[in-house]
Amino acid sequence: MNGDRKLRLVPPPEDTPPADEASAEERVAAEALRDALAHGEEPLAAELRAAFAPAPLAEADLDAILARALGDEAAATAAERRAADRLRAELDGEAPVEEAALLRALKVAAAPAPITAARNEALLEAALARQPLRRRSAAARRLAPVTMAALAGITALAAGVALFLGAPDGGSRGASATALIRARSADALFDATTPFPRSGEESARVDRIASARARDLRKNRYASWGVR
Amino acid sequence: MKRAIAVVLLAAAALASCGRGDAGQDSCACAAEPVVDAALLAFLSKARAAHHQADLAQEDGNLDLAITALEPVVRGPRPKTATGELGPEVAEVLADTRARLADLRSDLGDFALALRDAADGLSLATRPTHFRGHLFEIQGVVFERQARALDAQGDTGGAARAKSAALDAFDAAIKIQDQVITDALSGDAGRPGR
Repeated sequence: MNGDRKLRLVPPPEDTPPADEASAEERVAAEALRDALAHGEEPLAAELRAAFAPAPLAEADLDAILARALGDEAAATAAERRAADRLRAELDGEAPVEEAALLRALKVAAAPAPITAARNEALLEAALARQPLRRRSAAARRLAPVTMAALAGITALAAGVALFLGAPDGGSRGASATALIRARSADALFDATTPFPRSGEESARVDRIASARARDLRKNRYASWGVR
Repeated sequence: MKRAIAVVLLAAAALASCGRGDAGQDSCACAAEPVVDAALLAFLSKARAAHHQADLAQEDGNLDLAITALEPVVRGPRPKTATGELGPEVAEVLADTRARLADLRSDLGDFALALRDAADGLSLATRPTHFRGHLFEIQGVVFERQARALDAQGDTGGAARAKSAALDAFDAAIKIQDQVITDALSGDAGRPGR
């Protein structure tokens, strides 16, 4: 025994329909596809056919394409004119909206049409129908602003007391404000026992001053932010 | 109920304003004293860049270009304190830049402008520091160069006066440096501005 598994054919279950037998839905779908193919309405098939055996361009379309290439943006093929007419009809409400859904939504958003009287009446009726429910919860709704005002008052009072009594945070802020590093003579940055050379090293001196004060500024910023 | 809430809010606002009033007094008390801030650092950064530009120009032997690089430092805007005075570092950097300008200008033979630079620098560095001592030293160098130039031109009287002024300037420089060194060795940390 080498342990290899061997495959063997087994008969299908008894209730499995034959593979070549189509259901009623499949037959209907196949019929619809056949009709679409016959009338050239199936997009993928139409594109494949056009790629495989392209129809000749109409003279007017060829002229329009050529004119567009030469800069005439107004030139349009027959297909483009048909699409434009369809879009205009959709926007004017003369045809059901399909391609122009986005444009129509933008148009309505930019310049909404006035609401009709009947629609207005319906909205009012629906709103008034919910009024009893509102009355029931009126007491609870009236309580909410009072509660919020009370909570806000308590919070403000606590904040005021904390500021007045000098809470730890406030104290440290005051301390940090007074602990900011002051501008001062740069003389201490240099060896007091060694005078400056007669010539040169000016850049080195200003380098040292600028670097030291850059560190001071960084510390001041942290201190002003309350960072120790 | 509404009145009670209003009273509570007013009381809280009054307490909060009291607390803030204390903090404001603290900040007002120190507002006149300059702190190291972004304006000071911007000035120092500008001066640093200008001095490095001048270094490059000097390396190429172009002293005029070095002067052109440094002039914006002494002529441009400078940060001031709340009382309108220059901060200590600003005054010292300006004084040091004036000293360098005086050195460069006198090297080019422009002694009048060089001496004016030295005088302007001395009016900025008024305390006995190495900066002030260095300015007197440069002033002495300018007079020394002037004396040589005058002597070469045959103006022996003018040369003698310039030489005398140079000696005085060097003497002042030595005295100031002596004072700085003596203060440092005696641990004098209580000088103002240190």
